[in-house]
Amino acid sequence: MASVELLSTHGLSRQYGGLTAVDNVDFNFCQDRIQAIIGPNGAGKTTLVNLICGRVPPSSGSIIYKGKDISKLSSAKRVQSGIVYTFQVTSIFSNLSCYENVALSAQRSLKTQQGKWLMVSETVIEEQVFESLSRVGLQGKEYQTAGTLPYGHQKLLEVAMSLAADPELLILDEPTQGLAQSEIYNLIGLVRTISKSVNVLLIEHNMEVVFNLAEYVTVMDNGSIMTEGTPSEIENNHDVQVLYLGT
Amino acid sequence: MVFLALLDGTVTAFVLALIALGLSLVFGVMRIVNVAHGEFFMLGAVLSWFAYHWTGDALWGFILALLVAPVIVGVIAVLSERYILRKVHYNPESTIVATIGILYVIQQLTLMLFGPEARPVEAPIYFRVVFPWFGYSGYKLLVAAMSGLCLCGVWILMKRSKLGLYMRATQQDHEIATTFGVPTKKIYASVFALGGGLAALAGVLVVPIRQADHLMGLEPLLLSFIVVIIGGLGSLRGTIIAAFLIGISDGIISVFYEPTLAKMLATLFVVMILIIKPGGLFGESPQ
Amino acid sequence: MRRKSLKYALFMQGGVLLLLFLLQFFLPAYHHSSFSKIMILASYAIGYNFLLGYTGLMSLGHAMFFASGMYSAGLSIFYFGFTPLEGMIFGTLFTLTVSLIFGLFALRTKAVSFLIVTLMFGQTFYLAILYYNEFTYGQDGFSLTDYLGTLSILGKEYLYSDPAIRYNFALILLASYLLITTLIVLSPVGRILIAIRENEPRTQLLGYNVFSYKLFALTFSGTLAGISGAMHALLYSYIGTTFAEIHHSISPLLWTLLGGAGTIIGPLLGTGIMFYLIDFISGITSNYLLVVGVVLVLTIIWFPLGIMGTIRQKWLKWLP
Repeated sequence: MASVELLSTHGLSRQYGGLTAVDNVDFNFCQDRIQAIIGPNGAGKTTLVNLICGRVPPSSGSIIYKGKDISKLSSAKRVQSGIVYTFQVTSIFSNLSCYENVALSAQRSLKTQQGKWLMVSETVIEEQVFESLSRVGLQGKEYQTAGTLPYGHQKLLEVAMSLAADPELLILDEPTQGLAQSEIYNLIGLVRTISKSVNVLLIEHNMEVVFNLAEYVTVMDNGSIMTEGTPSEIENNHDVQVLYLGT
Repeated sequence: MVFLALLDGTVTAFVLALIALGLSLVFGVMRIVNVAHGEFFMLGAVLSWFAYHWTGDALWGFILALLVAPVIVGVIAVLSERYILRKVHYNPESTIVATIGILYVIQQLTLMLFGPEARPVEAPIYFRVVFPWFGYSGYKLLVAAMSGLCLCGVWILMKRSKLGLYMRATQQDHEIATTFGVPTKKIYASVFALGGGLAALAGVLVVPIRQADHLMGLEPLLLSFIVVIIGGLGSLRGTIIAAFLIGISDGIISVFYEPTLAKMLATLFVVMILIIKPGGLFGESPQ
Repeated sequence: MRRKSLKYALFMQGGVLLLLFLLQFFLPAYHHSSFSKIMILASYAIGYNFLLGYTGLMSLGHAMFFASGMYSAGLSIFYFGFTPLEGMIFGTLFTLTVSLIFGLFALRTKAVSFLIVTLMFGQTFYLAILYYNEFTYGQDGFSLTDYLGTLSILGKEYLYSDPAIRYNFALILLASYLLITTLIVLSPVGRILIAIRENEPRTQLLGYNVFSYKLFALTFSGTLAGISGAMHALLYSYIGTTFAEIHHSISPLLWTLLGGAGTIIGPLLGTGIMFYLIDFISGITSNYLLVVGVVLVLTIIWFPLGIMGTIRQKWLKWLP
């Protein structure tokens, strides 16, 4: 299933002081499937994703997105080109209403679509906000202050913000962390629906979620890619079992 | 002429380092900017005048002021820390507003008690050091020496004492320090008092060279701001190096230009530095 | 919600402005002149609040912008024989340039460094006015009385310092500031500025170029301050360094905080209260700055949201 590459990294590295968090990584993301990156704590997953989003600059290597080198672009520019990141620890505007949170995101994507100097009308923004909120099941919460939502809902709001940003590649960083089991099932369903129209890259700890959703899995350890493959290949890979179970 | 300017600049640098060190310590440990810092300096100078006036003797007045002024200012600092800064939870912007308020209160109360005129204080010692081609005030050299001594004292305090250890721990990470049993509340109060005390000490030392008045706090405040920005906020080493850079260049520029122009040039200099390095020359990370 | 906010806000501001308009026919001369002054100063504070309350950037050097508008308008009338209108336009453009250039430099720094840099720039601007005293008349300042001429309205000639002219020009200035800031704050741009105030890194990651929005806010706020300064020069025919001093930078901060940072009407309220408080205290002691200090401390401890901010939190959620 060699489909079209959407994003790839070439020899990507990042050092912090003497520590190499990401070491010479060649990672490929192919269009139209859910991919996942797994690995133990400190394996370099989050750093890799931060490099892709432009939150940290690489020490060396390059990132190619849709055939263009984006490694010099600012994080804002990358979001504008469709790489949207959903935070591991929720980072919403907790003093603002859910409506405003999603509107901030929607407004930006609508402006990108309509051209730089056009003022987006509030009616169009409103439509997009209501749609995004109802897609994640937060309809009716529009005017609640975001910080007063329960944690699970804050995570959903975060997803709604990402959806409103009109992503082409949606990166979900540990979306199920801190959620109750029922909320996790709900989220799996949601991600599956989202993936019909958007490419999803999943960073997860929870194996059940990964094997449930992902079509292709990359395993990271010590800053580099250990192995890659379909979920069943990974599940039966001896090294991965050692890494996770210590047997 | 240039040598004299260099000498004057060095004296200024020592005093400036003392004032800026207080500001830098407070910023480093508490992560707040004390806009009332210059008023602590002013209080030191004014208290020194009172001591001189009360004892009627330059030497005894100086010694008394040296001992008492930092303590009184330290107490004022502790009180404002306890009843004002703690109440706003050391939020950076709220503390700035609060310390601007404290600035006005201290300044205006001094005006009411001390009056608007500038008052001279006699130097405790009077002798001239005679160089082959000119003479130089011995007291100024004493000021530099005593400031240097205080700087060393603070350095030793930071590196060797338990208080210094606690302070460095709090500076690194406030929450971890708390969980390891560092009494951060007490540390905050001590640091704020120490910062104020250092400024007051500088005030006592400087007052025989220049007179005491209630508005004298603004200029050293702005100079210390320049110093801590150039040195990198919170870096003690950077603060001291920058103080010498500013003090000596200020001394030399003042020879060739008017003081007003010198100050304008110093500000432009800071701008240049900020364009190149937004975090200051010795800053740990860009602020 | 936004449309409701906008409708209510415009109604409320319209009411306040109508009241101010009608008051001029009833106020005794003393309060009439106080109100003119308050409206001018409040417009300065409204511009300040745009930066502090809606973008989250605290400046301690805004007197620089006020003075820049005041001096560039005043000096151009004084030396080049500009008409008052030309002076106003020149003052506006000059301040716009000053704040834009200042912003390009100062906004490289953040948080505490930004504050210190604004303070230092403000002080340097003040020193520069003193230093070029042959040109600016330094500490003494200068008067425009002989240079302004008269203003002809409906065939009648008025002086710019005529009380009625002063009052109504100040009112027009205030009204336009209220209207324009309300419209911006409730527009998509205002939403982004508020987002920067609330969480700057996150705003960047939503795909916004945070720097250019901050630059816009600073330039806009500075220019508003400059226009207030230029207007002050015309209506009071006097230009002096007191308006460039550090106190004049702290004042709008105090007025804004007291009235409520991040509320449109707050700065007007704060300015009015402080003006009358200081007016009252000045009758007792000359040390009115003591009161400024005490009010600053008490406000920040007990009223961090300010008067209108507290009212919004408790009752009027829609208040912009």
